[in-house]
Amino acid sequence: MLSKELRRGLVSIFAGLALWEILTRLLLENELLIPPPSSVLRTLWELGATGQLNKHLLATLFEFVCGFSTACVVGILFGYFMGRYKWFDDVMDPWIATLYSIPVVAFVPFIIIWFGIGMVSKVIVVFKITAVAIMLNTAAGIKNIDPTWLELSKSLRLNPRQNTFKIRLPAALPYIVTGMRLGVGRAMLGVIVAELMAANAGLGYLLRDASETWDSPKLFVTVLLLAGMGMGSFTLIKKAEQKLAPWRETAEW
Amino acid sequence: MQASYKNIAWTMLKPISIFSGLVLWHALATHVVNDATLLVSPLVVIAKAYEMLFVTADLYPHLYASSWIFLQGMVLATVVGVPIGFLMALSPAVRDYVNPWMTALYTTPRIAFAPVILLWLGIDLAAKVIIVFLGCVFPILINSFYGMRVVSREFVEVGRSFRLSRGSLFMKILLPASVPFILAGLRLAVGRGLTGVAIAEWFGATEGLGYLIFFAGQTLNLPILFVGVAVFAILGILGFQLLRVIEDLASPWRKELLVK
Amino acid sequence: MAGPVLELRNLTKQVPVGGQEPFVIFNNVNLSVKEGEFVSIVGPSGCGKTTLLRVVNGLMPPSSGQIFLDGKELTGADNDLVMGFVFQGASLLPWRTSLKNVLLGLEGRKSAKEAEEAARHYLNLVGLSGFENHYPHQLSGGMQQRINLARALAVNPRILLMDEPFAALDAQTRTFMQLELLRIWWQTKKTVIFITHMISEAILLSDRVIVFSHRPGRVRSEFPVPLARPRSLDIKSDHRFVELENVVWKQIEEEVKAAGGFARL
Repeated sequence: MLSKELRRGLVSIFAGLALWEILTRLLLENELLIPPPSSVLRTLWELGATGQLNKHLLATLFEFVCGFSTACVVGILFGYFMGRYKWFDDVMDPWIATLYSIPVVAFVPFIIIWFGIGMVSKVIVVFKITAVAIMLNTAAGIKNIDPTWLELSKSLRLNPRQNTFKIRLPAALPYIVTGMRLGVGRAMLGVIVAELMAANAGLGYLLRDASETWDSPKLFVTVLLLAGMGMGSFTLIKKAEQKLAPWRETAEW
Repeated sequence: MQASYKNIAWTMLKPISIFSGLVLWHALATHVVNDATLLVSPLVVIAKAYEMLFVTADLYPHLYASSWIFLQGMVLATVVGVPIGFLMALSPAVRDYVNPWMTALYTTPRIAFAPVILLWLGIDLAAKVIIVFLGCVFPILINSFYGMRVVSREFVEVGRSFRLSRGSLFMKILLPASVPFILAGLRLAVGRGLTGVAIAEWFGATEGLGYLIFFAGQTLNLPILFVGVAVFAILGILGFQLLRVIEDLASPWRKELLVK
Repeated sequence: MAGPVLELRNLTKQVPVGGQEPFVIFNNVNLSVKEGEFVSIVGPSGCGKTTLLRVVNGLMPPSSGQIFLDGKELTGADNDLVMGFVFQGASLLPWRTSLKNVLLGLEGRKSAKEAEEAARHYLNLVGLSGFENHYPHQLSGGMQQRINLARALAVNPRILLMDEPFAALDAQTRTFMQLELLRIWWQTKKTVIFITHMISEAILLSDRVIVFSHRPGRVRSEFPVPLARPRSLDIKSDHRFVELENVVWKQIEEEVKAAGGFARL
């Protein structure tokens, strides 16, 4: 039996889609402004069958995964040292804070000028966005550690390695995952912006292609895919958050 | 005495880091790269900024256009986001029906909607305002929702015990108590709203900071590109700090209500 | 008779305050504890009891004075876990299960199998077998304190330092935990230094009650507890218990007045 909450959600989605289908069929003569869901689905199927979809989806995913995974390693490492050593924090902070406050969209032109229109520039965009978010959050987590845990570590005479891996890093883990969650959303935006601006593959490229050729079913398919990617990665991180830190109440969105 | 010397050395670390970073940037630009289409010295950027601010004054129209879109988008987002957030907090049914659509809209990279909106509304002010609106409505909505939920759980019983009517319960207790949450949402919305401005002006505009940045990027005019990016960063920091001050003034009894 | 297992001589702790006289937390504390003795320290709030315990455990260095273990001076942080510390808040690691929390001090010191056996043994001793795989947030405050105790006992220390371990519990749970501690102490016969605000708790549990002065803290007086073991709650109505409680309360009252009165607490 589905929960009341879930049932209402499903009702809401299906009712919305049905309304959209009916209205577009009744009121609109062409599909330029809003294609009905059925033709969006048909276009999705066609794009999938010709292999176009695969190509663009994989390109974006590949860029995303490369940038994200390296950002995790670098972000946690730097964040840890920023949290542990004040001098390192002081040296890094002005630059990290500057990087963090520049809107995602505003620095993409630089990356493209410096690293070209290929995949490298997108990987770097993702990397920069995520690394900064993870770095700041990791540092905050390491700094905000409960001081009695450190006393506990000292009282049990844990060695420095145990102190790092059994006390400090696990204590900062919820912060690190929050950094990842914040990073994912912004990085997704970054990679699409970069692909829109200059690329020859990827969902952002598809978006631009569709809007320049006034192909609205294709445009809607792309939007749908992006929504799927956004929701998918968001749900994944939220699950990870609940699993890694079950003692904390996580945000609903 | 030794301790105080050490303290001075510590406080100097930040300025030293900034200064040496700038020197390194300058050296890199003038001696290593030496190509004005790839990197320019910070001195060139400062000179360009000075020129655009005080000599030719051609930054102001862009600044004005962007601020106007930004403000309209923020106001619209507040007017729409706060009531929806409140409704969702006070009625579980509304929340359940709205939730899937909101999650979808919220987690999709916002830029995906830009071409759709331009398709519907064409390249005019309304389209740009809507794009900014989509950027900032969610932090405001979500924080209003959480705020009202926390507040209503805390105070509804108090209100009942004093036999307040529904209207005065809302006006006297729930609304004022959730103001700090709404302000925290506004603060988060600043950054997203500015990103919205950049996206909106990129897709279709002849002026504005976003237009300036993309035009400079296309024509490889790096000094202007740097100035544009810096103005964006400064606006973001200023807006964030301004709202933080307002927050402290409006709710001195509470700190850190941020829902990320 | 054997010499004291732990001896503090002229132990002093002060913290520097920029440009002013250093802030003295406790001053010239002399105390010796026999093997297997249960000693409680009571005193007015802010008298430095907790800091004393931390200095003894090597969590912070003393400003002057010495700590002797079996007649040998302890220098720096000792590394062989002679002492186990039971913290005021349970301070359990929320990402570890009960068993894993108890294992923390054993990891890397014993083989995995031996460590787990020891951890299970002590979880059993504190009455929590069957809760090995529960996380701290799934346990009540009293259960968390039991794990806190098991964790300190698991490394098999000779001396147990307990810093107001029951302060955060409700009155009923607190009484049960006192009885549990009496039982566990009877079974393990550890040397214990126990810090508390509650005079009746100190008398119920200890062989000797030490009264601390107001800050800067020092030993004001000490009282042997003339009550036979094993004890139960009945001794609380014993006239010797009641008299001792009154005497100790008078002394603490004097210290509080000397420090500026109740309103400053």
